[in-house]
Amino acid sequence: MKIFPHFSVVGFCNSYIIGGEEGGGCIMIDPGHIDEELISLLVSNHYVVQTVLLTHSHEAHVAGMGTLRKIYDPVVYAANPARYDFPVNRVEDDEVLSLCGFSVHAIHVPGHSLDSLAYLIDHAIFSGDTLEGGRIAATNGFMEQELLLSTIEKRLMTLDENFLLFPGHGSISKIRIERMFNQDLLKLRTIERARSLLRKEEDATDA
Amino acid sequence: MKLESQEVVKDLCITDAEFEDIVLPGKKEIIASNFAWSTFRHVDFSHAELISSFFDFCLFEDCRFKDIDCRYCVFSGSEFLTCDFSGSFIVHSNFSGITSIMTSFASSDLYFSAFPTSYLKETSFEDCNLKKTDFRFSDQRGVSFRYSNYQEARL
Repeated sequence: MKIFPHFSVVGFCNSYIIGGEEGGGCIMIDPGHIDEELISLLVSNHYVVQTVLLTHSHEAHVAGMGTLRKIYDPVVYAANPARYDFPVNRVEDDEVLSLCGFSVHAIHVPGHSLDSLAYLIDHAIFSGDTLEGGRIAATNGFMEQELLLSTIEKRLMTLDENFLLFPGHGSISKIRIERMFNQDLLKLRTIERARSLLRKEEDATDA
Repeated sequence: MKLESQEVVKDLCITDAEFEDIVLPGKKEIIASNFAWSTFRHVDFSHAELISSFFDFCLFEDCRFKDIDCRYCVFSGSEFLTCDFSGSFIVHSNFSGITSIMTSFASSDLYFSAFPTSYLKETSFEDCNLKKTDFRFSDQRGVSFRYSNYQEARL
């Protein structure tokens, strides 16, 4: 399996191409912006985009779909097809798809948005905005932040620590690195524990 | 050793190794390789091209990285002692949790690279492009940012 990262200055989004050693059909994750560099990367490696996986519906991650569909007409997968104005196949939590010769495990990680998905392919996790290198995604409020933290803890931090992390924004990382150095996770976890204790104390007082 | 030859190092996984007194040939390419947990002493990477490679939890002692082209690399958790990255193009690379002592990144382009939670002591970031460079939660002691666009970094 080959993974090619591509950074676009439009939307500052990372897109990824996942393909085999010898070219052919490939998967693209989050086509935020299709530029010449990305097309030449595909062409020089003899790849044809057969499948697109969307981590969530925010514009920075899907804006390139219009251009991409004109060139390749790929099959698109996402959590909530209703949020897109082009045909999309629904992916359920924990669903395992067989795409372009790869086994893709979809993991629902709500918090940044309700339709956020992470995709696990072999030993690589494509986390979208959920877990970025050294930080976690922005959320609309405390409830969403709590949901995001708990899903990251339960669904991503339980993965093998040698798994590679390919985020939607920021630099590439590993699960081990995020466990050790992601200050958002380390600090917010402590705050969240304190909040949870406080809530329990209040509940006990009310009772 | 593969590092000393002109040959492109691609898809190599050689963790927990020791490298000493090596000069990489000019424009050496290291692509999609993993050198995690290794030790590099007096290794000269100058003018090398490092792409999507992992050097996490390594020890770099007295190493030269002058004028390197480094993209999508991971150096997290590593220690850099008296290393020199001056004049390099280091974009989208992860330096989170590093310890950097008497190391120079002078005249480098560090666009979108990340140094969060790092311990930076007597490290020079003079004359650098620090646009979107992440320094959040870093412990900086005797660090110089002269002639750099520090205000455009993530602080």
